[in-house]
Amino acid sequence: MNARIKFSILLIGVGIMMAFLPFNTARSFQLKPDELLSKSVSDDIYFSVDQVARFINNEDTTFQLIDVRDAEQFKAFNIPGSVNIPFNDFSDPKWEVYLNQKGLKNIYYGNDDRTACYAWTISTGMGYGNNFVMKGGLNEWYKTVMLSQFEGENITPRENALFENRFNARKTFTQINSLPDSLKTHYFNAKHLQASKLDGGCE
Amino acid sequence: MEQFKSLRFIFLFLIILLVLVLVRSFNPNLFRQDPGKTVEAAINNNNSITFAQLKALNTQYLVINLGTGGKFDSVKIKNSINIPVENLLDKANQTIFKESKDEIILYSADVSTTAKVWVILNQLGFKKLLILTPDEQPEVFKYKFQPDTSVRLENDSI
Repeated sequence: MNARIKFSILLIGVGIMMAFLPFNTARSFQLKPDELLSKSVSDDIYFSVDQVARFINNEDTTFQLIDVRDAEQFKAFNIPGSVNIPFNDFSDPKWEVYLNQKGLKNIYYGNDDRTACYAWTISTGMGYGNNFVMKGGLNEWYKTVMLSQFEGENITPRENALFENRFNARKTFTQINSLPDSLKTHYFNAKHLQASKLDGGCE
Repeated sequence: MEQFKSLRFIFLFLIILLVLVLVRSFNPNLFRQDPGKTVEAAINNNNSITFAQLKALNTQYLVINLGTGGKFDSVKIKNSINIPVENLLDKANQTIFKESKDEIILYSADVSTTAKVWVILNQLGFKKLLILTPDEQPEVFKYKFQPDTSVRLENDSI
């Protein structure tokens, strides 16, 4: 038989089988279900709002906050330094540059835990590493960081450190979110300049 | 016959390929859904049902209580069974999901557990899944942020 006919039969056969292959694996979940489930039941995927407040106060560059609320809510206020990836748009490949991080910890937050956990499960399932959730979302942030007050006569060093951490994060949150958008970038630049002056660095 | 003989290696190759495709296609331990469809299904909490809506539901349903050990959820719901989240993907439990023709309603006192389980099951191809929630709008911001109008860049004491 003609080699060309043999090759055609082979190609048609392979083509038919390709058509029955499961969904495009490049964009589907990479982890096995039991692997994803065991990761998801671990408490290690959560950061508390106090831990996030400390990251902000220390200007920790090893984490990236991802706000999964819609753009309008994000614009009204957000945790300083956050990136907005609305959950409605989460599967768009344009976000891969933020989601597929090896060196950064991605911390998801919404108003509550639900949407952040959807985002966590989808991004972890797709094989992106270093995903975390800020436990309680912005409601917990507001209750704990923005509204907390010390009541009493004596304060222990531990309470003092905790309160100072919350107070500084609250101050940054209020200052940044009270500025017009155009000034927010200037604010961060000014803050970095101030820090370099305190360290004895050059202006 | 002669022609078949000359094609036997091609047929052998195609049969091996077919076996591999079938193994992959029918492997129950693989995700094969488009994550975009999972996002679509979860947008605006379309995958949720409140306690009040559940009471008024006319169709058959099965509530899966995902409570575990110390964190067991004490809420008593009609037509509910307990499947601890750790054992969700056990063979026996997967059979329950596969054989159920009714709406499956996931419940846990911790909303983050139900959210994660819902995504995993949705990705495994289970479509008639809802999350039982106490609130109609579970993702609402409960406070009101008041911007400080006195903030000026040049006056900032950082």
